[in-house]
Amino acid sequence: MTEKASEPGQDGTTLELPSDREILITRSFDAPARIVFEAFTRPEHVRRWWAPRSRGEMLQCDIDFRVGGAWRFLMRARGGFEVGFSGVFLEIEAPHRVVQTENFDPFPDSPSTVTVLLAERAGTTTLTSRSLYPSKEIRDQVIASGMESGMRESMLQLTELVELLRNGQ
Amino acid sequence: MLASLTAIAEPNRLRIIELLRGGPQPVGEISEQLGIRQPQVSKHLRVLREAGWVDVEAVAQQRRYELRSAPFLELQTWLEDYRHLWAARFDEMSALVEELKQKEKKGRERNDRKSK
Repeated sequence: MTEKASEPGQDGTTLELPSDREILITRSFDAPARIVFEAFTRPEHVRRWWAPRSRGEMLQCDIDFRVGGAWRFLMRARGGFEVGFSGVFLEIEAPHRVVQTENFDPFPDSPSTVTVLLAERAGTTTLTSRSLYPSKEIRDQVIASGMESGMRESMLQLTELVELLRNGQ
Repeated sequence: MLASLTAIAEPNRLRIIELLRGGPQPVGEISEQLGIRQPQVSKHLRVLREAGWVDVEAVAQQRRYELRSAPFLELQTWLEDYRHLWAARFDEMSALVEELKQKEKKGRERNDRKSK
C-alpha cells in the first residue's frame, strides 16, 4: 500500500511511510550541523525555503524559538489556496535535535509530533524529520496538502471524506 | 483518487487488498482466509470493483478476483507530489546553507586579517 518508500530522486530527498501514522523525510546537506540548524530554525531563513518559489509564497512565518514557544507557517500555493501549519516547541537541543507539535489547519485539535534530527559526519549533515500523526486520515491529508494546484479539487473532496471518516459514517 | 481511498478506508476491504497482493483468489477462498462470511466478502468485492481496485477473471468455472495496478500508481503519484514539495524546500534550503557557509567563511577571513 502507501507504506512503501518512494525512491530517492536525483535531488536526494527521500520520503518513507514507516507506519500508518508516520512520515519520515531525509535529506543531506554539504555543511556542518550548526549551519543547517540555523537555516532550519530561524524565521528569516525559513521564510525563504518553506514556501518554495515553484510552489507558492510565504504569507506568515512566526517562530518563537524556545521550549514552549509557538510557531506558525502559512503559504499561499500557486493554485490560490492556503496551507497552514502551527505548533509549539517541546524540546530544543541545538544544533542536533528539535521536537515540536504540529497542527495542520483543517485539524486544529489533532496535533502531530515532529522530531527533527541533524547528524553531522565529515562535514555533511543529514536531516531526518519524523512526523507521528494522531491518525492515518490526518497523515494522508497532510500528504495531500503537497499536491500541485491542479489537485486542489480532489483535496477538498478528501477533506470531506476525512470529515465523514471522523464522524464514523 | 477519492473513490479509491473511500473504498479502502474500511478495514476488511483493506484486508482483502492485502490478501490479493499474494495473487488472484476466488470469493470462497477470501472468505475462508479472512474469516468473513461469503455474502459480506461479495459485498466488499463489489465496492472494490466499482472503485477500480480489483477485477474479476473467469478461469474454468471459477471467478477469481485480482488487483488492478491503476489505483496503486495513483497512490504512488500522490506520495511523489508530497516528496517533490519537500525536495523543492530542501533545494532552496541547500542554496541558503551555501550562502551561510560563504558568509561565515568571509567573516572568519576578516577576523583573521584583524588579528594579524
